[in-house]
Amino acid sequence: MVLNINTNYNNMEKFLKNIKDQFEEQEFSVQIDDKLTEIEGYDSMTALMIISMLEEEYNLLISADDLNEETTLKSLYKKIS
Amino acid sequence: MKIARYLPKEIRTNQDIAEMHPEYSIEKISKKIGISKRHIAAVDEFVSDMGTSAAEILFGKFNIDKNIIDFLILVTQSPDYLLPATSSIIHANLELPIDAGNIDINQGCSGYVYGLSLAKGLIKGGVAKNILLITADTYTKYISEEDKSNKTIFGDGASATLVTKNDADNLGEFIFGADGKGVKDLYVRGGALRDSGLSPEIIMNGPNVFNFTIRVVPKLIENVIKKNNISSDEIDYYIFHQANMFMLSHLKRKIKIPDNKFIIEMKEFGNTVSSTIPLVLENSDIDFIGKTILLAGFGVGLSWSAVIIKNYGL
Repeated sequence: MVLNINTNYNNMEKFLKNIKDQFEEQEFSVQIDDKLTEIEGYDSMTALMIISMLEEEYNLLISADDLNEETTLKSLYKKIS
Repeated sequence: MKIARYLPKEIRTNQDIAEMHPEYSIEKISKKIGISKRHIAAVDEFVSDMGTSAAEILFGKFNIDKNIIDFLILVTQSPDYLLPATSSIIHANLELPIDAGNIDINQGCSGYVYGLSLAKGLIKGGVAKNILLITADTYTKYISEEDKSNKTIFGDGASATLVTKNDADNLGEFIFGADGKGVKDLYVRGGALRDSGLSPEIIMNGPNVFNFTIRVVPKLIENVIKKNNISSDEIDYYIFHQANMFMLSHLKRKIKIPDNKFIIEMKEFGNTVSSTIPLVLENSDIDFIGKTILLAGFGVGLSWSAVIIKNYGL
């Protein structure tokens, strides 16, 4: 059970790092309750890179519109976990 | 196939764009999309001018007698006029034989392959023997002053290809497709009859176009290989529409194409729409003669196309 919690935690950390890596500016932290479109620096290029990352890392192909409609990173994370 | 290109004189560098938009991190973005320069048509330079120049360069470069041309195909989405076809203007400029037919194809990124298929059909159907296929676009005229993203991606350019019976024999089976639901992911608003009160302006949802290519292109490549009844090992080179390096790199990884077979060549031109594939064929240091080459176009429409050429140029 503890192992599962740790695994989930590590997966979520990895997911947050993968999201953060798509931003130019790296001097900030990404939280699971953040809304993607409200993160400073989020633009169409970042969206394109996140779509690419989600497809390659998690085999999730999401449209830009759906990506922008996600309420928080948590709801996006649920799609891949 | 014999190919020539024409690129407008004016060049827009990343530095130029940085000066127009100081808040924009163009160097970082251009590294991802792999473009450092784009050619820009002059204010008084249009598709008929560029297409004519490309054809004149083709005739001179290969010592082609223009009187052998019996059909002219122009692929463009930035015509001089709503009517007549811009190929009519080029036909007159080049003084092609009066019994040579002409037609415009309104396709963009998939357009060169469309042009090749029409050329093959005309030759195989006994309608024509020597076809002049021109691609030309001036998308930069559609880009608004504020639109830094599209300024970074698109450049203007033209190509001219002579397609003869040998070339038609070497062109294999084609695959096409369309998804009109994505029309507004890349379109020009205004300038034609609908929304005619508006000045023409290009509108692109880049992430949606990217999403479309991931959905469609891998299957397109698989299907064209299958339809041509060959194995992927037999393909020497893959030349995709040069949309941007980021998108192409993703597709290369997804389709598992070896680096040495996959060509990315757009740094000096940007995305020139229907001219990207012939620009690679014309400009590359690689000797394509005799090779088996897969061409694939995809984008505005949304539209896609692919073909395999065997014994290229023989």
